Amino acid sequence: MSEHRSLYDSPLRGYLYLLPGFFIYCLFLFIPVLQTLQLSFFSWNGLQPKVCVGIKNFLTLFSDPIFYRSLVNNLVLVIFIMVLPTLIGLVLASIIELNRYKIRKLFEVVLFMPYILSLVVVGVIWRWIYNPSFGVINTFLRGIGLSDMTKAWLGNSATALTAVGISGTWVFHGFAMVIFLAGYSKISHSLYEAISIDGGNTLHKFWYIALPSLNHEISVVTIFLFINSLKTFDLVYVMTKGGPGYATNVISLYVFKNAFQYNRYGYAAALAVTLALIIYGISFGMTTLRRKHTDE
Amino acid sequence: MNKHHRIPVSRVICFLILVLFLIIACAPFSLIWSAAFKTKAELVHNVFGPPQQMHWENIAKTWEQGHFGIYYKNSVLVVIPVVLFSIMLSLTNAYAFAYFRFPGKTLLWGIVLFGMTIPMEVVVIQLYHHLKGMGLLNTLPGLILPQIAMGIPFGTFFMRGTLKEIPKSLIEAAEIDGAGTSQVLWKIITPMIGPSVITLIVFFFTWTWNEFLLTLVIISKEALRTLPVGMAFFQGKYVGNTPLIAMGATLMTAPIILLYIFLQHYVISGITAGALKE
Repeated sequence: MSEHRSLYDSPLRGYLYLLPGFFIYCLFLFIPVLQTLQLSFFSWNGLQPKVCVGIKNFLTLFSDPIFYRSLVNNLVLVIFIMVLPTLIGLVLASIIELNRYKIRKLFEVVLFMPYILSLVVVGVIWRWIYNPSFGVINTFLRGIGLSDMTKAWLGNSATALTAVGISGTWVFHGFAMVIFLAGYSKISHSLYEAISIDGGNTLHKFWYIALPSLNHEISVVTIFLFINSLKTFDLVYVMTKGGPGYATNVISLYVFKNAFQYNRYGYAAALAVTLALIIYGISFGMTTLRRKHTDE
Repeated sequence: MNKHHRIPVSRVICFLILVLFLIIACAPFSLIWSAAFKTKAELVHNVFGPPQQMHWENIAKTWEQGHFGIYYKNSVLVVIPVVLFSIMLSLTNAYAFAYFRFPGKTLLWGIVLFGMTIPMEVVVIQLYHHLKGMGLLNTLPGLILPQIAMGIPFGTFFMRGTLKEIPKSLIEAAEIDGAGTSQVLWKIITPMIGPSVITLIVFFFTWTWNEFLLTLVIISKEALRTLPVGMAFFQGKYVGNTPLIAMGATLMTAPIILLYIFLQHYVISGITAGALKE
């Protein structure tokens, strides 16, 4: 038996299976990423030769008010795309699980539906909902006699970012709920029974059993949605193009504008690299924090 | 007695909260679907009700005037090869990582995993110049190849998990019976992994069907636009003609919604498996 030489010991065969997929991946994804990193140290308008400028792009970025504005906007979107969907998802999953409704499947399937839509379509739908003259919200407000409250929701710098954010909450809350339901399904019911015998109510079950058991799911959902809130592009591009002014400008949109409208490729690359570093830094921080927390 | 009464009340309140969120999730869909069959004039005074009369001609109008026929064709021409090749290449990659022993495996695995974390925003700048150099700007291969590349990291990760669950003894037995590695892959492994393949098909289909930023950058010719980019430009051009925009959104969404309704089990179990495995 041990004399048998497995074909799986032949590195050549292994490499052969790996070759086509790995080649395409490297050519169209991995190498461009490395090149973007390199480009972030150059000044380039796409036509003239690239000029190495060291870390000048990054220094410019730190004194660029539009960069800061975009960063703050992204952080506001974190509330709408990460915090709110996580909280709503947790509440909905808990309600479904702790009440054991028969039609649980219906809720799961329907509430998840917004998540599979193209964000372009989501943007198109919500633009109509927010439209000042014939939009759903203003028509509704006029219908119930609250004409004073009608607004150009997306055209007003006081409300535009919140309006975009709410459409994000709509997209992602069902996703969070589904992950939490999966987490709930792993919790043994004898634990709940133990709490009931001790005279605990539903809130006790949630606080002492469900919440600690869902630790892993909570971190998966928060990290995933955090990354999504930092990468927001489609929604903003379709709904406001970053306006009015820079009221809804986000970093990914600013990357796009610098590269493909202002032809400042080096600066765009520096912005993109910074975005990636923020994403990696905070995701890593969150993961380590959770590890430390669970180890204790 | 008291207790007997208290439980149903909280149950009812909770149920109402769920129904409220059900309405919030559904309302935009039903509004847009009903708007798609109204006339512009009707929509102004009848936003919330169903159409008084179904204006089916909106479909043809959007399809032709809005050039949705072209966008549909392009979307289909992109999505089929992307799904097919992403799955094939993910499977061969995963096969190598799951069973073979070769030097540099850990490093290569790390490079693949890194691909799952790369934001499109970081790739797209260089990808644009890269594709320009290869003469692939404004071509369908220019859209297809990068999206295959984007599918491979997750696909490899997901498939490797599936292949690892196949009993090793089965593979060893086949090998002892004289099967080559490719026979093992196609005759033994492939027939066993149907559900995982379906899950991946749904994921790759949805991602590719919805991809926006890449197409926006790579394609500037209208004749090569896919649905999301076509939709975005269509919206800009037909501002105010909500029924046509709503019909565009409906046409674009229909395949995804149908796919989801038939295969929602695979979507949800795939999402949760992906999230919980890690």
